[in-house]
Amino acid sequence: MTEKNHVQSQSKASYTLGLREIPVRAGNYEAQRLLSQQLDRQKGAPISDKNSASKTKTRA
Amino acid sequence: MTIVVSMKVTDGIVLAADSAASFFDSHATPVKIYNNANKVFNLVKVWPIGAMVYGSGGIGTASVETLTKDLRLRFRDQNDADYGLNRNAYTIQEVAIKARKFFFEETYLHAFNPPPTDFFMGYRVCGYSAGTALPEIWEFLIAGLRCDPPYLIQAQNDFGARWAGENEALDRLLLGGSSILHNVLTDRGIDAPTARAIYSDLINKAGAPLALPAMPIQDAIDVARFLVETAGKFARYGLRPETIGGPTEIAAITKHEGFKWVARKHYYAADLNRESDHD
Repeated sequence: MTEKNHVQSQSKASYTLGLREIPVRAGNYEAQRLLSQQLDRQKGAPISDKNSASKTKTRA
Repeated sequence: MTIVVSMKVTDGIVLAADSAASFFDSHATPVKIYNNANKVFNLVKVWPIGAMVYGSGGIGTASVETLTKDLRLRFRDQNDADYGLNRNAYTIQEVAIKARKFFFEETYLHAFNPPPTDFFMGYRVCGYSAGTALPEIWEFLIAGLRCDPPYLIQAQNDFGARWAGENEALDRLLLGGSSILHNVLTDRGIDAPTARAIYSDLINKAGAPLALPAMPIQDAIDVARFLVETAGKFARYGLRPETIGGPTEIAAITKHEGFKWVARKHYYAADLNRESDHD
C-alpha cells in the first residue's frame, strides 16, 4: 500500500464511521402542534410599537 | 428521501418539497441520487386539493406521481362508485380515505406479496372540503404490513408549518432542538415523562414558528421555500449523502383561486407542447 493509498484508506474509513443513519419518518406532529400554539397566543394580538402613540397594527 | 413542508395560514395552504430521489443498496446505503422527482400533486385539477409524498417514491413498477395521476382520473369520474368525488359535498377526510384505499389496498397489497417489512411511505392530503372557509390536512402512512386510517394533521383552526421526511434540520431550527434530545436525556437517567416535559419546555422557550396565522399567502410561500431549501443545504453541507436536494417545488391552495403552481419543473418545454395542459 502506498502512502497515498494509506491516507485515502484511513480517510474513507473515518468517513464511513462518521456516518449516521438518516431516518425518514412522519413529523413529530405533537411537537409541531406545540410550536403552533405559540401562534395561537399571538393570533389576534396586533403587533405594535410600544414607544409610539400611533400603533402599527397587522392591517392591510 | 425527502423533506415536505406544508404551511397553513388563514388564506390557504402552501405545499413545498425538494426533488431528490435516492436509491439504496441492500445495506441501505444510498448508491444513486436523482434530483428530478415530483412530490407535490394536484389531486383534482384546479380543485383546492393537493397532496405530497415522502419516503418511498414508488409502489411496484409505478411512481407515486403516476399513481396519483391515475387516482386523479378516478376522482373526476362521477360514475366511479368507489372513487368519484362530488364537487358540492366532498371532504378532505374522504379524499384521504380514498387515497389510502387506492395506494394501500388496491396498489401496494397487489404489488407486493408478501409486503416488504422495510417499506415506508407517507402521503399527505391538503385542501378545502366543499363549502368550507378554511383548509385542513390529513395524512396516512404505509409502513411494512401496516397502513392505519388517515389521521388529521391540522384541523381547520390549526395553523403553522408541518414538516416530514428527513426532519432533523427543521426540528433543530424550528423546535429548538434535535429529535434525539429525548434519548439523550433518558440515557442520562431522566425518566421519560420528565424528558418529554423538558423537550416541551425547550419548544416553548426556544421554538421559532416563523409564521402568523394571518400572514399573506405570498409570505407563507416564502417561508415554505426557505424551510425546504434550508433542509436541503443541511443535507448538502453535512457529512452525509445529499438525500434532500434538487429544485424546490411549491404550490398554493386558496379558497377562491384553488390549486396554483408557484414553482415547478417540467421535463419538456411548455412552449413546444401547446397541446398539453401541463398538469
